[in-house]
Amino acid sequence: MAAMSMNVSKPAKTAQPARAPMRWGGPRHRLCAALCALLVGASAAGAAEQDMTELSLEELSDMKVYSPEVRVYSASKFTQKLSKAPSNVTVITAAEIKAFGYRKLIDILRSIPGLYATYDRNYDFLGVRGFERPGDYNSRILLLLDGIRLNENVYNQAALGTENIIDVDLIDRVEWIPGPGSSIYGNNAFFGVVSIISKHGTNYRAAEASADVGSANTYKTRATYGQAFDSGLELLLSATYYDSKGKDLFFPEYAAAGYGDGVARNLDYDRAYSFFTKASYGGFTLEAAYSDRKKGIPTGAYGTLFNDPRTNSIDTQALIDLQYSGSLSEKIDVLARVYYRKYDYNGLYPYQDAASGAVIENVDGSRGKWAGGELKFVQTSFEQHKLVYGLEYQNNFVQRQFNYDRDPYQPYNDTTPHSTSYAVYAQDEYTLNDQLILNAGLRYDTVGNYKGNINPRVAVIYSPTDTTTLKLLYGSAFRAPNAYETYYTQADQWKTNPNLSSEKIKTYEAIVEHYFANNLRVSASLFEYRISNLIEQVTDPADGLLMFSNVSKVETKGGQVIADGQWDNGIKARASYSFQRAKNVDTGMTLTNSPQQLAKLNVSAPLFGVVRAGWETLYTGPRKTTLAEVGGYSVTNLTLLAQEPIKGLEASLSLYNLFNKKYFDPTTPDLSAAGLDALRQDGRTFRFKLTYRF
Amino acid sequence: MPTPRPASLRSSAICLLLILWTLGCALLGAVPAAAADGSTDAQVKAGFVYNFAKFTEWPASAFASPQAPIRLCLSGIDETQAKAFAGIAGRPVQGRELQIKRNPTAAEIGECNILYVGDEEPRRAQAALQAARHANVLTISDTDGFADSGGVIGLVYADNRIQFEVNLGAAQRAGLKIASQVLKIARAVKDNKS
Repeated sequence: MAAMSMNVSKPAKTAQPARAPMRWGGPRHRLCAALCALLVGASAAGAAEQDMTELSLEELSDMKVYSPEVRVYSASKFTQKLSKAPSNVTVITAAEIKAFGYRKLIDILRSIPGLYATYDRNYDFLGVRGFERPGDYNSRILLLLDGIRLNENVYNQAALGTENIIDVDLIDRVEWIPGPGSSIYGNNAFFGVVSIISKHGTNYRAAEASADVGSANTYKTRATYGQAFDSGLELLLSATYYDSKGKDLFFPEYAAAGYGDGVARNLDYDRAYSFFTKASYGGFTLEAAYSDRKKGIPTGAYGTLFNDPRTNSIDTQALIDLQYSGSLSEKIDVLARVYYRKYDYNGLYPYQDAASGAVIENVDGSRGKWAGGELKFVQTSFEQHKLVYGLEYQNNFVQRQFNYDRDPYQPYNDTTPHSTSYAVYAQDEYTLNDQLILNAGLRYDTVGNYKGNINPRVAVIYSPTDTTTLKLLYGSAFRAPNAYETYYTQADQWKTNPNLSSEKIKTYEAIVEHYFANNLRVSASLFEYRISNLIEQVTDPADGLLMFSNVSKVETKGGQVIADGQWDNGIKARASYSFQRAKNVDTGMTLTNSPQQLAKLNVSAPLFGVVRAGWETLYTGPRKTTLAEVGGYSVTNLTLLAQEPIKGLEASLSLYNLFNKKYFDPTTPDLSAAGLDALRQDGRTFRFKLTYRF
Repeated sequence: MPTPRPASLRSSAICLLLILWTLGCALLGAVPAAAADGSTDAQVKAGFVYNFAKFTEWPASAFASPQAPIRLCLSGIDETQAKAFAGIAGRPVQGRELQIKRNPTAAEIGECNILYVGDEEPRRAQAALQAARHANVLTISDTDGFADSGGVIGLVYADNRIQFEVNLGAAQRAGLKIASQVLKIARAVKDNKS
């Protein structure tokens, strides 16, 4: 859990020990300071400056210090301290991914304050501050891999489960930038940005092989080679194969409805393989990735025939990206990139024809191909100003979606639109003085038909002392209707809506962060989100056809407290509590799949010898479903990690849902209509993993 | 679509102010406690660099004269770290004066005897390291895996202490001899070829 350690300690500047309150001088402040000193019982004895040149290496090695404050890149598109970022950032590192036995990106994200997860046994969904609507595909978060937009160009889905393009073992860190990110990232950065930064060849300088085995006949193997050569060439190559047979799942709802014994047999399988490669030389980095995942669907989703062994979906992604980063001058850095991306989705959905009773295979699919480029500049020519500005362009030359019955052949839809997007943005980090930073940005986006999206973000970041920061944030973001919402048509049933427009969000947030005694960071925040123009499926009363329309408004208010600490005995911990209420403004009703409370605890501690234990308890409050409610639950995961019991070896044993808690996630409205209003999640499972570095 | 701000926001704001006031009050008292342990991360790192300067032998050609100063160049560091280094500036090392140069240009790197690289501006720092590659420069950094990636001395965090790793191969390539006193205390001594 290295990141926690890095999170927490902001070195106090001893240049002005204990004198900060005096600067204010006014009698009221002096009174307050005196009262507070009494209350807190803190001694105002200043620290004696120690001359470090008089200390020997042994003495220095023995001095107690805490690792410096963690840095974040994705909040402002340049590296800055967490306390200076215009957001309430969380960073999860490779060390934590190991310590807590995270298997998928969603496992990493659900441990982050304010986030929660939903799984429908096909895709994983991320809820943010009380918002995750069943049936949506993570299109209101922007997912980045080394700055490359991963959301595909048909549904704008962010893949967070086993269908994600990169093995979590190859992740160096994940930065979560909550709040509207459209002012520098544009479309989809609605509730926040998940930025994955992958490892480099230098992280390995070796070949590595990893294999794990887990419950439900789950196996994963990975081979990785990373090297940094004398010539300056850095290389990383990796391949992963994942195969989970899955368990037979019993659905009492389907048993009651007369679907045999209600057991979906051999339908929870999950097979994925992926490749990742990265080569850098000079200022150039070439990155390529490919993934293919086939998932059986055991739930009878999308109106499919329950327990039909053919039901599955396949997601295939590919990307190639070439990036150059260098300097135009002493004060101007430039980043340029071009990329090509591809996304294929194929769903096979057998259903029973109501009239004939015959079982018909329906094929649903999409093909996305797009390419683009960006230019970004970071300029520090002006005293106290750090400017970031850039241009982006993306050509979505294929955004095809199709749907047909196989036999008898019956096409329902086949559209192949294409579109282009472009954007221009600028941001200024203005450091007025030691205590005050103003970070303001603005971005213009045109996404296909949806022109003129303008989104600002303004942050006032005030640090009255070295250990305390107050942030006031305002921002807006948008999500343009995706290709599915824009172009989907089906004769006599579904039509396009020419009046469709972008969804919008405006947010206000206030954050206080404070470092106690260098090793404990506490932050508290209050926020209000105002969402308008939310897109829903409606029936046009004029002709009875279905279409998408901007109908809903949502308002969310809430707060969050996070404590993040490390102690001398090697224990690192993070605890958080979030409360929020997300309600539909017109109806006054709380949204479905919207917990009002979340609480999380992550503790990593040395156990004995080379063994560390990672304990994680995640509480999610009760959530409304389409028809009823699912109860709140706590799930605890435990990982024991042995690092180098023998040279080069790493072993870990993880127990997920340690106490075998029975809990449910809300389902989509179509499943609720079919009788499955809540979906039971996994009980206790395990994974044993070995990794060896040659 | 502009919407009027609701009245309830005002109560949120009042609530927030109360929290801020309470916290702010607590903080004024807490500040001395936070600073009281005296030694900070930045100062300890400066102390390490001073010691490494003491126990490293440069080839005679690295200095213009026997009295020439030892030049410590700093790249990618923040103000806190810069202040800590200012505390060791001008101190005597091996009969020479320790001189400090912050943010050297690529051309100036050849003049450095020691290059310390922080993680403030990774790209700039990387360029500095690249420039130092073929000179008699003792490279030191607290960035992740520094000694593994061709740096001479990497500072690492372990058990809430700062430790260091030495890459002997990199030291040899730079024509530097690092005293056994240093190697004995190193957490790891590596001999990477690259």
